[in-house]
Amino acid sequence: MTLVEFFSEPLNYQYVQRALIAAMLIGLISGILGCFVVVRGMSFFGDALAHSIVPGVAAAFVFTGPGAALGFLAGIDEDLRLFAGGLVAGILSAIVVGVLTRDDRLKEDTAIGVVFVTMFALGIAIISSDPRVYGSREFTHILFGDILAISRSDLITTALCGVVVIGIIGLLYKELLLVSFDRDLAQTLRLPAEGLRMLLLVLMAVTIVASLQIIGVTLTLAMLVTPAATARLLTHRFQTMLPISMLAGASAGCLGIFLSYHLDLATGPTIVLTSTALFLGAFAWAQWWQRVTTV
Amino acid sequence: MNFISGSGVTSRHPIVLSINRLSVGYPGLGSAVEDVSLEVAEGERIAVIGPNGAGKSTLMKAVVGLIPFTSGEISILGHDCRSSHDLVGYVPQHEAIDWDFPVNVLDVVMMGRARRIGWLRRPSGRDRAIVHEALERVGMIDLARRQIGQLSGGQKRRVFIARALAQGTRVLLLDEPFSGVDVAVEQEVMETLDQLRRDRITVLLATHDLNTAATRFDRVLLLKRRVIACGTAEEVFRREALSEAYGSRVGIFNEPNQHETIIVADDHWMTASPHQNGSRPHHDAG
Repeated sequence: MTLVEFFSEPLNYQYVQRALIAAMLIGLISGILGCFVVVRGMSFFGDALAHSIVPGVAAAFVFTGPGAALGFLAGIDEDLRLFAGGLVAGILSAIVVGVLTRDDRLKEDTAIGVVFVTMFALGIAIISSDPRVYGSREFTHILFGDILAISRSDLITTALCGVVVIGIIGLLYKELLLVSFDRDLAQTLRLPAEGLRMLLLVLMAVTIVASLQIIGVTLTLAMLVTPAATARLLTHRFQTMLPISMLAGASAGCLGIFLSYHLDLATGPTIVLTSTALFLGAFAWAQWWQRVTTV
Repeated sequence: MNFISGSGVTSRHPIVLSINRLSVGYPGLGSAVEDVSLEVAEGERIAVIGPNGAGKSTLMKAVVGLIPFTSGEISILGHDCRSSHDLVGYVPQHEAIDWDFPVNVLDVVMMGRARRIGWLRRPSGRDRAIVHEALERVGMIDLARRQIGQLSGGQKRRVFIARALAQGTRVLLLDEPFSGVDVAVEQEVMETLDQLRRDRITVLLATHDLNTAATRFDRVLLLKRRVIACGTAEEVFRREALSEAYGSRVGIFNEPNQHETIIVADDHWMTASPHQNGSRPHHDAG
């Protein structure tokens, strides 16, 4: 197989095309938002948030199908229902943690520990209440991602999420950077520091839900952290970090899809491992560069 | 070494900062600052001293609006401090900043402009000019593109002073800028503050260095929850006031043929009282 065939052959299939676009979009969104996650030290939050959307997705699956408790919602596209369920649960958890840590009585990681474990437990409880869900293809996709799972509507919601996340970060860049670096200054200048922090948490929830179908709950954190960490190794400036991270995320996404196709592996792990490879490359380069410049 | 007697300054220049019967409390912990009143004239330089936990940081944070206060008033140039935010600049304690954060000197100083630039806008040429000028005033323009973690202790502090200048600060508050640095850095910061005098920027600086407080400031505010003493170094560095603030950390010694000497063992500094032993201690710039 030539290199050209490596890339051209999978493109004959529409589902690969869709997965490629979705993976690239997710790489871009996670890449840009991940920069904030990395410099603010919010990885634990990201991991927890990913798990906390499970009850939302589960509830949407169990309670809104045909003949279920909220059966009147069954008319809506299933992917959209799961997406909305996850988003609601994620945003709710983010807000609850934000509120619990507003004063200093509880440390953030403690509040996160309490809230998100509760949410995850609730998710498992909902799943176990319905034997249908265990065997469902849809559900394993949400946990681990699947190249076949990307529908047209998934693509549209992912693209919309991308526009929202990248658009908001673009418009509020200087405020978000300021509140991440020095919250006290934001408060001194009477900028809504608390509101901006909440906004970041909500954007994280949106990003995680968007990357559900292709990466899966268990691995979304990797896409939020690894590309940004790769970029951090290569620059000392936040504004340079953003495009590098987006590029790293998008490349990992696309390359991961091709590898996933050829090696017949689940997309989530393949994309994440590709991303890790990029990170290791950047790490080696940074080490070498440091040695070259310091001698 | 320019030592200006305190009382004269107050009468010649308008009051920029007025604190009236301020009390600040944390929930469940009682009040950290109680019934503090202070009027500061334009261009005046005040050292805020007192033992750890005396409320120095709390007082500063209340003035810049980082914590709400329970009673009293703070006004800046006649406006309530809650609406006159950009006139007050704050240089936080060194530990409060993540020095590994990927921003350079220019980025940090530009942050001071964030509110003036406005929502959804990018810095204009004028904003860049103001940032440039602020960096020139603190002598940091040559290092404008350096990552903040790669700066020396004195340079870091100067960058944050520049940020306050870019903000348009009239009152600058510095929270223990001398903690954990050597005398040379302290000297560097004081020289930067000397530059600001020309622009009549008012300075409040919390410190444990009683020597510098006594010799380089117009007035000294001795705080221990309440105002123990406030005035010139001669008025504040007295046996009764220091004993009240520092308790057993104050020792009084008599040497033959000399006035009595008061030794204050503050957390970081062992200082002989400048007043009682006849001559002011010489501040060695190292």
